[in-house]
Amino acid sequence: MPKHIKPHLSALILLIPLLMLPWYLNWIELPDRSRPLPARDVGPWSVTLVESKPGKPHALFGGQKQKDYGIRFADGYPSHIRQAHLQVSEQPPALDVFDGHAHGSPYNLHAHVSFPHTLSDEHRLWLTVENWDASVHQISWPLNEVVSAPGF
Amino acid sequence: MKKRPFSVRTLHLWMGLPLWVLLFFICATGTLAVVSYEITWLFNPASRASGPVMLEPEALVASIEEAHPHVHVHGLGVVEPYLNVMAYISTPEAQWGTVWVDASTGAVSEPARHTFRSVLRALHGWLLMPVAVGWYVVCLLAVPLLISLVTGVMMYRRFWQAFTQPRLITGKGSRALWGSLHRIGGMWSLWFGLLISISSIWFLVMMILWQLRFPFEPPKPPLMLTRADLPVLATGEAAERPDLNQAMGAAHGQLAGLSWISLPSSAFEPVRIGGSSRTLLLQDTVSVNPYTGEVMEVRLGGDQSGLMVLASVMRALHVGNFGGLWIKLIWFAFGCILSGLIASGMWIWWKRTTALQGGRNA
Repeated sequence: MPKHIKPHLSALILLIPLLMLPWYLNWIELPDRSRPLPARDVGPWSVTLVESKPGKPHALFGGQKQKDYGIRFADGYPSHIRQAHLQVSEQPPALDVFDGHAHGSPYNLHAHVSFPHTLSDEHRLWLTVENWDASVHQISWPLNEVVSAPGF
Repeated sequence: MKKRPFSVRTLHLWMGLPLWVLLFFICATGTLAVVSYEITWLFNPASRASGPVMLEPEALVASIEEAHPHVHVHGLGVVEPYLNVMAYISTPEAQWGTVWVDASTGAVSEPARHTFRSVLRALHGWLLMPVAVGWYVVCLLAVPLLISLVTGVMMYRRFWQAFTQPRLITGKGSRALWGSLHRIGGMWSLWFGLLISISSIWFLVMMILWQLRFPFEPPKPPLMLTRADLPVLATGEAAERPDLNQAMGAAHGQLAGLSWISLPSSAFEPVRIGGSSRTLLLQDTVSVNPYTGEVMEVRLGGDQSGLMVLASVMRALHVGNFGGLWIKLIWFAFGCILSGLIASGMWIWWKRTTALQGGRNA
């Protein structure tokens, strides 16, 4: 190969963005790794919990463990709901916690859930839904249903 | 042929040449990204403001909800005085998107998931690869860019003459002309090249810290309302959107020149209103209780952790969006020079190599 052609070969790297374009612009959808669980009723609403990334909780810089979930209400976020909230605990959680608040698009809520370091068989993932009339509904899942990783 | 010892000239050549196409592409897309809103203004009539651009959130949100009933508004921002207000939204189909709203006429554009600006930024920032990979590829290019700049100055004896007595070599062929342009352009845009390469190396460090989930803020809970602050409604009664004009008015009582408003994404979140007109480089934020309109907190740009301040300053300096159109045009012009340096460097080398080969072949 002539010597003066070689430096231009880095142009080949630009084929990568060109090939990625259809995915980026959503002409081709990437496989969705998130795992929706069967819909359940919470109070008068039907809700679907989504494991955003199947696998173990990830470690934060300080060592805390966290995992992300999606919450989808049928027919979008009803305006009667004041707050939806997810927490891992042994007992139905108290209301005065800010960790695990659902936020983001009302059509596809998102929550970062902290996991305790030591888990007992009693630990469950609790969904708390509070209404604007101050009534509260709570449902829970065993961890082995909501964490698709061995050891849960 | 005798092997030449390692020299600054060789280093300069080796930093620029092997990846010049990629480096040029990143510099050129970055240069366009500086003026991406202005290019949008040229080609997308829906982005052009027909009158004064006022941030009156109640009317703007009402216009959007009327035009697109299923759109949920997360925030509104004034970009430039000649552009419409940009609204950040989500729809049942797409998690995130934007629309333009004309503050004078209430006209609302169609929701867009990808825009000219977002595609350009993704090309420039991570080559459309998965961000965690592409970000490193792009940021690592700042290292050869920085070394090219430094070795360029070292090669150029009496480099200050590029400022005191710039001399274009004309009449001695194109290689000499481009060589002199390369040297003068390199010196004049040195400050800009250093700014871009150093801020890009910071982006590399920032991504590493980010991926290690290093806390950019001291771990204190974000400002939230308490349960006692929340109103209790009758059963079946739907909550209304907070009075955004009232919140805006309360924030304006604290700080002037606020340019964006972020709506609460949960019942416990305050309305956040902010802008950077006070310091240009840092965002000041006012948090307002959405139910009472009381100001809860005024957080000035400097009241953050050192890392957050550094991140804000570096980003503003890198993208040149802190001082309106004139700064953008200066950044664009020097971006063009920097891209031109890469292309002209390659061209000078090409000419010399083909001339040498031609000489051997003859």
